[in-house]
Order: sequence, then structure tokens, then C-alpha cells
Amino acid sequence: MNENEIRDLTRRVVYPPTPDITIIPTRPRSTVRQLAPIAIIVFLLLLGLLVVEPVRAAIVDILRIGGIEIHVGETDLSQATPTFVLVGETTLKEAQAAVNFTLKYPEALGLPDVVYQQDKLVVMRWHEPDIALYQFNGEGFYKETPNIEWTEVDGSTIAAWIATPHLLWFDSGDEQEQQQVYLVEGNVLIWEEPFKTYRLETRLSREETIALAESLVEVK
Amino acid sequence: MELVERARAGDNDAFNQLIDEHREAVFRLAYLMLRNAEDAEDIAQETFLRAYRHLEKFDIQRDFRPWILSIAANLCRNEKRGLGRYWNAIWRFAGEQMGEQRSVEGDVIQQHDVQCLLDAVRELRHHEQEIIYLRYFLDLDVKSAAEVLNVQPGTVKSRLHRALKQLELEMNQHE
Repeated sequence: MNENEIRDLTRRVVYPPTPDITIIPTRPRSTVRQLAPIAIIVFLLLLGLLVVEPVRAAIVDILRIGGIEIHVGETDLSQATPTFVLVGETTLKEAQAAVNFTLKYPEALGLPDVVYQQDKLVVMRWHEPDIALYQFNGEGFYKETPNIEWTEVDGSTIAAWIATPHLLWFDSGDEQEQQQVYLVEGNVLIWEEPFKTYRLETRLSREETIALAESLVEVK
Repeated sequence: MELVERARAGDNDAFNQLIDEHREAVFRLAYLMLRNAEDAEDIAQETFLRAYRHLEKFDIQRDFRPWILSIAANLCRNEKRGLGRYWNAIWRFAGEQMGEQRSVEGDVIQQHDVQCLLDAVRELRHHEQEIIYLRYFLDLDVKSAAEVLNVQPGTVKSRLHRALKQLELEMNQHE
């Protein structure tokens, strides 16, 4: 099947009529939707029954934000290396010259204490408080975590918040390279913008971390 | 981009024109991703509401359509990921029982090959589905699809290549 044949088929799909859109902040909920809380409670009770079953799938979901694939499910932390050693220490100027996106930093923190750059990844570190901001273009980062919360940055950008110890590894695509799995104990916020993924690791609360994420400014 | 500038200046007519220009694409993308007309309408509504609130952040040098579609795609992914997914499953089940369910299957003309295509696309991985929807169902060019998906155009091309190969395999199985 070639592209023209696919396009020909897609033109024959009949969609429901496109609804009128009006910008009204709140919409009345339908009767069925008003029953949502009851349905959710019933469902959670059923879910609880499932959870206590002795056998359940190790990974229950695979999600993606920008260049990070997140496996949500049973996580064996014992296999992880506790320390993630950053390499490629450099300057902000050199890091900016090496990547094809504009570097940003949380204005409230000021410029970073240390900068690392490897390929399309730039990591900014602050020592006090202990914070690391990863920004990169591309893919290859993986996380495995028992749970994840969804939140927003700037009120519209979907972001993932992970506040439990979890695993992190990087797949360069080189099958010969041994894959090292690291333990992450800090709280992590992940979000994306066009051509860039952000990963902000802190010891702060979710609200404080989001406030930092929302304060990003370009490095001049 | 004149419409965006006028909308930013507080001209609601200009924003309504933007809605009219893009609501079909936004609704259809949401419909394809969520497979439910009411959910798609909610997402379309929310998409334009967020665009309205965050119009100042839109880069005027870029096309508006990829930006608005990226908001819609994010909302759809979130809808599919979160508790909403489970809630919707219950809600859909209830709708089916009441005969209210409207699905893509129910809405397409019963053409075997079109149905085969829709079924086959749904067998693909999520990010492959999205690229097929954007590129072929919504006719976006590679650059615009890359902007919606937040990847490089080269990544779009390689994903398309893989998705098309997989799609062909799936289509053969469905026939």
C-alpha cells in the first residue's frame, strides 16, 4: 500500500459533524457525567480487588513525554546503580554552541553552578538547593516507576511528576554498549516544548518545582 | 498571523475566525485519537480555551495549526493516560448499554477497506498512530507534523517509514 492509496482511503472516512466551538470557561455537565464520582468510586473498589490478586502485570502502562519513555508498573529498585555520574563538564557558552535549541534556566535560581553537555543533552546543576535541570533534543531516555502523577506547567503544558524512587536508563541505540540503570531518589518533573524535553530533578515539593519550571528564561 | 496578532490585542472576532479555520482539524484529530465524538468535542473546546489563555506564548513566526494541534494532542494523551481513561471506559460502557455510543466504526460509511485501514492503524504503537493521523488523515506536511509531535522532521520521516511498513502488515492481516 502506498501513500496515495492511504490518502484515498482517509478521504472516505466519514467523521461526525464538527461541533461549534465557543470559548466558555465552564460547561454544564451531562446527567451521565454528573454520576462520574459514583462510577469512579465503584471502579476504584473493583480496581482494589484486582490489585490484591497475587499475580499482576509487571508493567501496566508505557507513556511518553517528549524524548522520555516512562514505564509505569512494578519497579525493582535493587538492580539500580545508586549514583548517576554526569560527564562532559563545560561552560554555558560552549554547551549552547553544541546544541540546536536555546538553553533556558529557572530565573529564581540564577545561573547554574555546573554545566554538563553530552551530544544533544545539557544538564545544569545547582548545589544549594540540590537541583538538576536536563534539557535535550531527541529520544533515548527511559524511566521505570511504580506510579506517576499528571500535572501542568504554565497551565497548559502536560507534565509528569514522579515523587517516588524510580529507575532511569539511557539507550544510545548501540547494542554493544552495556546499559546502566540508575536509581533516582529525587522528585522529578518532566515536560516538553517543541523540539525539546525538560527533566527537572529536585528535593522540593511539586508546587515549588512547577514554579521553577514556569520561571524558565533563556540564557543570554 | 494577522488574526493571531488581532486576537492578542483583544479582538474576539479574530479569535473566533481562528477557531473557524482550525476547529475541524482539532476535532478530527481528537476524534481519531479518542474514538468518541463527545470526548473529542470536549477536547476541542478545551484546546481553544487553552490557546486563548496562552496566546501570548505562541511564537508568531510559526504556523498556528501545528501549535493548536499540539495542544489538542497533549490533551488527548492526557485524557487517555489518566483516571479519565478509566472513567471514560465506564462511561462508554454505560453509553453502549443505552445505545448512545458513537464510535468511529459507527460513523464511517461501511466500506470494508476504510474500516480495515482504521482497524490497522489502531494496532500500531501510539506514536505511530499519531503520525499516521497527522500526515494522512489531516494532510499535514512533515515539518508541521514534527512541530505537533515535538520531534525533528527526520524523526517524523523515520517513524512514518516504520509505521507504513507495520500498517501494511496489519492491513494484510485484516483483509
